[in-house]
Amino acid sequence: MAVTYRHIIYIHFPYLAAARIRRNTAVACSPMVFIQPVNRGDRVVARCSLAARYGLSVGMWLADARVLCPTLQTHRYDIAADRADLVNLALWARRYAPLTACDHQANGIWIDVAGAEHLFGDVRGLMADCAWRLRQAGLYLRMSAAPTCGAAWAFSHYARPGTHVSYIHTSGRPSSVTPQESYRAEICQKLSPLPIAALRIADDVSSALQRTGLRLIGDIMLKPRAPLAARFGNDLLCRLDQACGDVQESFYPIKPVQPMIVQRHFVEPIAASSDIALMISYLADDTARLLYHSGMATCCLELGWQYVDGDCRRKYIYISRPSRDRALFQSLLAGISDSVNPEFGIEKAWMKAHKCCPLTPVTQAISNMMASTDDLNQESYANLIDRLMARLGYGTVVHLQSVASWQPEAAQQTVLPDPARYSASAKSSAWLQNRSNATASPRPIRLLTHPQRIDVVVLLPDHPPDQFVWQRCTYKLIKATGPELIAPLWWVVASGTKSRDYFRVQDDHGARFWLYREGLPERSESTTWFLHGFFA
Amino acid sequence: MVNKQQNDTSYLSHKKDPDFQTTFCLESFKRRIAKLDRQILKESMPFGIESLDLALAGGLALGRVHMLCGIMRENAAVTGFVSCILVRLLKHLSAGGKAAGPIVWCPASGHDGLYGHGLAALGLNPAQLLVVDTPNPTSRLAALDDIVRTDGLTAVIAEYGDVQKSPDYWMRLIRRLQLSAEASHTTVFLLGAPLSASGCETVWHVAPARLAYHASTMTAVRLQQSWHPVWKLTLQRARGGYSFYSHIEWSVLSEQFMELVVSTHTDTSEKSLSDRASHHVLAAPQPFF
Repeated sequence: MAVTYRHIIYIHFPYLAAARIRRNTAVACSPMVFIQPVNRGDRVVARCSLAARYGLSVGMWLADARVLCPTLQTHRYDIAADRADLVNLALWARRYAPLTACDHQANGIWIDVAGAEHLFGDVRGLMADCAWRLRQAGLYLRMSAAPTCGAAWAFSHYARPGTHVSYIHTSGRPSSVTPQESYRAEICQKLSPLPIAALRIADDVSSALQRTGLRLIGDIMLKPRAPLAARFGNDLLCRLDQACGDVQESFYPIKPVQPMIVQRHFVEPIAASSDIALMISYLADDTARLLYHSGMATCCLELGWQYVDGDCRRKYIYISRPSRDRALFQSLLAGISDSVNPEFGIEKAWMKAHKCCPLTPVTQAISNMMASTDDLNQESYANLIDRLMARLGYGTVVHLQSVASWQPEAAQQTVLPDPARYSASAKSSAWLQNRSNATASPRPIRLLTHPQRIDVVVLLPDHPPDQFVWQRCTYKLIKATGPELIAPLWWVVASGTKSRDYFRVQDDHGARFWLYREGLPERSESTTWFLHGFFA
Repeated sequence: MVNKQQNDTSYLSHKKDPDFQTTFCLESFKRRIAKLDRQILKESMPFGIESLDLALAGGLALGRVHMLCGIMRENAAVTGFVSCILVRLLKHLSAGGKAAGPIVWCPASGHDGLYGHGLAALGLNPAQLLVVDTPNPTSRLAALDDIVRTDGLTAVIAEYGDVQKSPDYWMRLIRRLQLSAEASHTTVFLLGAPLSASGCETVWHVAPARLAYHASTMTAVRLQQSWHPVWKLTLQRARGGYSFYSHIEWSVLSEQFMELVVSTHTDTSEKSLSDRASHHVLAAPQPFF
């Protein structure tokens, strides 16, 4: 049986979910576990390295885990995020070799590095580089290399920490045996002290083997095969053969998304503004054609160019809905040619379509139908948003969104406009629901992003002010209502933050302001006055 | 109408006078043109205040450029007044069976941003707004023409703040906006500091009005307690109309403008407090709901 041994690296990430949480939020270093509700309660499905040190294991009940470690943080397990992380890691690992794959069952990735090790000296150099980069990213990993997928998996999961870098050397083998025989002997020797579970077999098979006293791989290696197959199924022997290299095993390499890119190289560097405009228009046409032929549409166009000195520049154009309309691309890119500085000449230019999604004629027809039934002239509105974003910059065109919060600053947020959902949001009453509250507790029409400090004259400490000075102007106040007490979010913010008493005041010319006093006089806190907004 | 009747009767008596005939022909042509102009090209939104609608020759012309000025420190008064106009405008459109499109608001690049809950309290749904938030006023004004030309928008509000430009710049900008607004039938409101620019359909000066007065009458007591927005409104120029000055209140509950009549009774103690206008006792013509 001719089996070709390959050079496989397996990287296991035991604490992948915890690393994601630590990366995204600055949380204190305390043990954390990830739980998933099952029939009778929450079970631990993932943990962090600290929790492992407390003796918490996967499959425990959360209540048991809490007993072992009272300061435990719990998070809901997000399998989709784990999968996405693994896919990203596998895509990243393509920097070492073109064939990589995800192992979603065991949180790991395979890399087939055959023919690529010499770029890093040898395979040890490659592994050291890979491990260093992943540790920089805050990931805990266990990595091993072996000539077969199964052996690499087994070593990285079950070999002792000191020996998990267990690549089988190709040099120094005795010349009397063929390389294949020497490989097989070395794999078998290193596999035999590992537990049965290292063969990637089902849990019930491994527990049945344990009951019969077969705990290690070495125990079953020398047993007669027929009774084993009869009692424990073919899967066990198949996995054993795959690990030893007697049966060929391969993985499905992950396929990266092909970038939608068109390029133009110039014989002579171009610098004239008319040439640049022509270049952009050609690129837009090519991109639209490429997207049309691949049945895709894009939400973000990248225009890049390279100067004669090798310096590259990029500009991004955002489109509010997926499109491959040539005329739209042209109109959005029309303003850009003025902002391209040719310097000493442009040698090469490209246009790349990011955030692509499939757009078939059917979906296009459906969206057109939806648009025609809608009373709003949606197409021109969406085009307006795109034109403004291309012209004024990303994030300059926003919608206001109501947030259920008592904090005046947090009660409104800006979101990027979505023209497809405009009519639905305009009819929704999220804002007007708050209106009934707003008549009870007044809110200004313009709010200062940062409250501005004012000097006030107050007759009594808990009274509204009679006069205040803002930007070197004195305002005499003749009318005031309040106070409206807004306490800080004590469970979020630091303990030093004080409560605010809001007053609506009017000056002798009729202008109305929203002032607040920070600190409560009845608690004998020091008080400071701020101006926060203006009423109509 | 009254004016026309008088002219008609005088025409009969002065039939023989050739000089008068030429004048009359010219006048009647002018009137006919104005009538055509107003009826065919201009759709207008009445404010619901008789004297103001008369001054505006029917109401606020839609699909035109209007300028609302105010002192920059009292920016919120102008913002409030234009939001109330928008509420009326959306009501007017829905009463006429027309669909309301989005409203584009380009706020001035200040530290005081639009606050949706305040707008909602006046009756304007902030979900209908598209806020164009650019720090550079010049690029904002340059993009304005592009915005106004878009079909399907109900109104465009542009705050120019206190940006300094030549009168020539303003004239060209407003002329261009006027043409685009007429083409797309979008009503444009320019908000900012007072400036000498011509070409707008109407020019307003908006200032907040004080409400605390000596409580001599029941209405004054009511006003003293109410926090309804009140503006001192000066219609400085209106095409085809005449200037106007009054105090206008926005009734939040009924979503209507109400004119406040300035009574002759003055209070000396109030006068000493403020050197500005509006030291009169105000009385609302309508009874309070």
